[in-house]
Amino acid sequence: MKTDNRLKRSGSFWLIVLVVMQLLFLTGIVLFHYSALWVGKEIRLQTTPVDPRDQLYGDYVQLNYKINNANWSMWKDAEHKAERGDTVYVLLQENGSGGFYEIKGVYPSKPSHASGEVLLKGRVQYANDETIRIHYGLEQYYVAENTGKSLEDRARSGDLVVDVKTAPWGSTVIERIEP
Amino acid sequence: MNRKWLQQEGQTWTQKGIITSDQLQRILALYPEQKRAIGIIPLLGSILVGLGILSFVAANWQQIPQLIRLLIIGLAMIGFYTSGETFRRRGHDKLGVALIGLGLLTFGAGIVLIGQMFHLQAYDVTSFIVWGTAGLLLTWLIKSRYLFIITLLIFTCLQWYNSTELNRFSFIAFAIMVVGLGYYWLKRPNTLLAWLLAASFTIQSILLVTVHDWAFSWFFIPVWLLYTAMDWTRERKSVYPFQAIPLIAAFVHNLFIVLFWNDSNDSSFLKDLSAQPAWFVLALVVLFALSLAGKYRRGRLASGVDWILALPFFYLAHGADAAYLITLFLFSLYLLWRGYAEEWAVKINLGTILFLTSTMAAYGKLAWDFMDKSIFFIIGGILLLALSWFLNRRKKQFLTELHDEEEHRHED
Repeated sequence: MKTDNRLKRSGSFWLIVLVVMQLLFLTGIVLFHYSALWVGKEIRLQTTPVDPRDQLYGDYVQLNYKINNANWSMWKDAEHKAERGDTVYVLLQENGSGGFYEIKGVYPSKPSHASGEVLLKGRVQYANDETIRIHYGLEQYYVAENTGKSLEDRARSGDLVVDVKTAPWGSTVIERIEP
Repeated sequence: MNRKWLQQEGQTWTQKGIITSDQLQRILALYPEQKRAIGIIPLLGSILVGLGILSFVAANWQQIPQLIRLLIIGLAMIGFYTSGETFRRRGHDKLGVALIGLGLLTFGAGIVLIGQMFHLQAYDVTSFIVWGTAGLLLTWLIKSRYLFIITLLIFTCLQWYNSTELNRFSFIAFAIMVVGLGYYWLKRPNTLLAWLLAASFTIQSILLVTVHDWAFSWFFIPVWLLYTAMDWTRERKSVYPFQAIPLIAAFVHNLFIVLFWNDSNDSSFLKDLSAQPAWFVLALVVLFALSLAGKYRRGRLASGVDWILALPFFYLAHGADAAYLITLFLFSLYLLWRGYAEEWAVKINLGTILFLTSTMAAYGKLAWDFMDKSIFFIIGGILLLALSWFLNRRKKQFLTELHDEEEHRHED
């Protein structure tokens, strides 16, 4: 019985270690994303009308950014073409009118960039003859159930402006949605 | 064997004079009455309370400030783990492990909810791999089948999500699962866990092949690898699911070709299926040799017949379906024969089912095209009934004989 208890006690110790590690992991993700909101660089993004087929009604609003579609002329790799599932790096540059950020180039690996430019990591959703469709993980905006109707209508017609904050270590978070 | 049984049987033993009642008491003292598991009512009560809290939090989630949300997740997780460990220490193992399982689920929910807080779409499965790994470590720490199953589900679902939504296959997740849970299984063999682990392995092999758009037959390399590996284990009693699932997968694959392909079809169907012959056949032959060597070492060379299901007839230009049909029959007959020879009901039952399936496939293939459909079904039904009656009678006879034999042996 004694050894059994001792076994259980050392088991408890490792359980505590494991639980603390899980808590640290969750805290880590939170800090990773908060850090973007605290020190990240703010960029403004323009939305475009959402493809009605993409609509998935739920407790979030589907956002379609202008930077979701990249022209093939932006693709910076002569040898390989981007394919579905590829990770790509999208270089954004502030456009004079309205201060929106727009695509300057799409790269298969991390390029160097000037201080005014911003690099976002994205994933190729699909690529057809005209465009490369890229998702950044910023395409859903969670709202309280049944309150997102007006926001959803506006997202569908594509006249929303989204402020996003991005930190150099790769964390990118929606800060707010402006009309 | 439990204490109650010992108590009842022990009385008979003392009556027959095999042991004295004093000896019985001493034997019984070796098996102290286990602390009663906590009653079902408090368990149900705590589940209801938990569900209530959960639905309340879920309904008001958006109104709760972010910091409070994080606190709720963290506290719920700590609460589940602590109460689980407390119950375990007091001897309520089942309830304790159940609560620890809830703690693990809360960890996963926390990952998802934090993602929602920042309006992030799950973008890759790294955080889910962390979740599964936490489950794996818990399984090792607490040695619980229940946690094993949760962990297996986490890994299987994350791979499913990864391949269907993100069109990727995570080799890291696959490796962690196979090594971590596989090694756990080797230390604590268990039939149920073997079935589940083998099923997950096979499903993930299908995902691996489809995600990469490989020729489908490549799927059989990992599957037969699993089969072969199990020819080398010392454990025999509960290892058979690891070989049964690969065999079932191969059987279904062959059955599929028999049913949905014939010579008049466009042969691109089989071409899409076929891997490059040289490498595929080489890999298969290597596995076959390894498997036979393993079987030979353990003195079970007869079960090498299993491999007829692996014969790659899809390379044939003509008659692939007929060749596969023959393998189906041979395999099910072989299984029936082994079942009777080894006096093992599982094999007899499985062999019966597979034999009936093969017969139906053959019948459907031959008769569907030119027979009136109502006659087709009537004759098919009669055929099925007659065969199953015959096989069942055979089985019953066999099992009664076996029973009688054993009785005789006991009387001698």
